Amino acid sequence: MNTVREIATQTISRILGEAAFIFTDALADGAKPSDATWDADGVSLQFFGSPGGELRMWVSKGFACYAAANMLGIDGDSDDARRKGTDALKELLNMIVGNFITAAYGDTPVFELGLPKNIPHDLMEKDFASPDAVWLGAEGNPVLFILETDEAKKP
Amino acid sequence: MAYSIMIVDDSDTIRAVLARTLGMTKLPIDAIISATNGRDALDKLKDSFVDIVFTDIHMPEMDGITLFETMNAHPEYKDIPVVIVSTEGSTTRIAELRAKGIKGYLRKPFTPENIRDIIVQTLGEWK
Repeated sequence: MNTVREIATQTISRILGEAAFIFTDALADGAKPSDATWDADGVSLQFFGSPGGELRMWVSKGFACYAAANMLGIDGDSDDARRKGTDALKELLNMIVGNFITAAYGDTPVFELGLPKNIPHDLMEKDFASPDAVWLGAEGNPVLFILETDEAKKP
Repeated sequence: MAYSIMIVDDSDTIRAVLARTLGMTKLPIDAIISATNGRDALDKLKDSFVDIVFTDIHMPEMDGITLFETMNAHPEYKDIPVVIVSTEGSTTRIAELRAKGIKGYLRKPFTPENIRDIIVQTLGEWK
């Protein structure tokens, strides 16, 4: 794991804890989904600057509602949590990327953030198999993220 | 009498989280007015008395900076303080916003104490 990826991992853990009261650790043995048929929701956010890049995050179905419920202090089975789940996941990613950039590259450079968006499930297979995949356990739920930067592509 | 606060964000979640967190500040809050973008905020300002505006930057239809600039050019709205709510932490960006006249910057994720400090610094302690 390189330093930038470590910073991303730490930032994801911190933001999930501070914003959604979801605590993370290393994914327990056997908790990784068995294959790329994992029923997951994915969101991505691009950032533009030096370097530019993208962070993609995959979580199990239901995790987004759980996050929304925690953020809003409402019942996780409520219609409101279901309705806001996807939006909550996007906002968490927005917070993660904004805070990751400062943690990784300092607070002087100006980066532009894109808009968080849902990503189609068929991309998950590629991310699932990627050597850059980082897995976390979030209160028993697997979380997969991939950080890609222009920097990482340099020889 | 208490504070009347406008929240401008295209995210349902962030509007709800900000409103909930405002409720935890223990400040006297009379009204929270929600708007989904800058244009919606300007429409609602016509009918609402607002002490302070918390706005996102990136929104469809009208972004937070354009909202601020429009308010700043309007005789009835130019004295309403505007606070930017964003995930970005660049001190260069924050200095640019302050140079434009933005009164405060609230970084996400935020706490009730962060919001309380900004309101008290901007509007003064409620007596």
